[in-house]
Amino acid sequence: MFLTLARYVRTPPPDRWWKRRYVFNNTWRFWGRHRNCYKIAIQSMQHAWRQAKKGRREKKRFVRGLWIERLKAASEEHGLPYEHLVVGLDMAQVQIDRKVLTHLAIYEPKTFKSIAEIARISYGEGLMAATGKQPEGVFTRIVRWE
Amino acid sequence: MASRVQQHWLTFSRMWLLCDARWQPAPELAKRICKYLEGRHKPVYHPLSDCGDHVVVINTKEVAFEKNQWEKKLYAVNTGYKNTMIAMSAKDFHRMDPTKVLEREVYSELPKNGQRKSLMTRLHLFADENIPDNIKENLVDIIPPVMEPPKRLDEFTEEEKASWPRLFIPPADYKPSD
Repeated sequence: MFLTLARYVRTPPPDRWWKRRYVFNNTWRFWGRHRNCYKIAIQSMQHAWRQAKKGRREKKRFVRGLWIERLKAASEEHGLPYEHLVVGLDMAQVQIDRKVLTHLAIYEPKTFKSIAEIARISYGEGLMAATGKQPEGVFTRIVRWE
Repeated sequence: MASRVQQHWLTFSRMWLLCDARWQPAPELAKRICKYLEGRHKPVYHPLSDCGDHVVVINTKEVAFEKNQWEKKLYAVNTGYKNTMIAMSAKDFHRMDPTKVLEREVYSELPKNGQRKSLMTRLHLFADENIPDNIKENLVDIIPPVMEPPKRLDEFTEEEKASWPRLFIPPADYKPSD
């Protein structure tokens, strides 16, 4: 079946008024001619959409940074550096993410305190297993003099 | 807690914290003070919520610099006369006004935004331990020091000196050959 002619037929362009109305619906808050003149408004609209796309990606980075800042403060309140908290929880196979940990630190302080204890203990145990060093003042293994 | 509103007010209330600058390294102390001024020590921190605290620093005349920074570090000083800007060493600047060195350090450590000047108004510096009474009433907590200032030999007690670990105890008739 010969389809080329059928494919040459294009949909008609949108009505000019409606095409501009779409743009002005997005730019009604802008300043001056960026609000009322199509040629200028369409550029402003595209710029705004580009910035919004960039912002959506940056917002995720900013929010994660805020979680980490808050967790640093919360873990210092319990005498733990942030790295010890995160590494200790990873060693104890606790996979709570930073978002929920921050919520717990603010709204459930006692829960967060016990989480910090888990991290502190598992970090200490992990260090011992990795380096072979004993904690101070405690003999858990027999020391051999050679 | 009686109500949510009261809990909210208590969480975001502004504290007054005391900091002793005696023999503390100035740049590191400034970073720590900035942290408390901005409110980064709180789990409810957000850059837009004004959650920083007041910091009262005492004994700023006894703040310390490393190595020969007192001679080498230069501060730009405005004399008040036009076209004369002086570069003063930290030693002379400290002699001129004992609180200004730490003020400059904190100012340079704060984030360079519109909040900086309003946070500086929440920093209260005193050269020695004399604090006005209306500030003393407000103080709530102490900022932990950056480093413990070392003790002089005469500041140790006799028991500590006696119980200090020794490598060996020489006999009574031991005479070192000079």
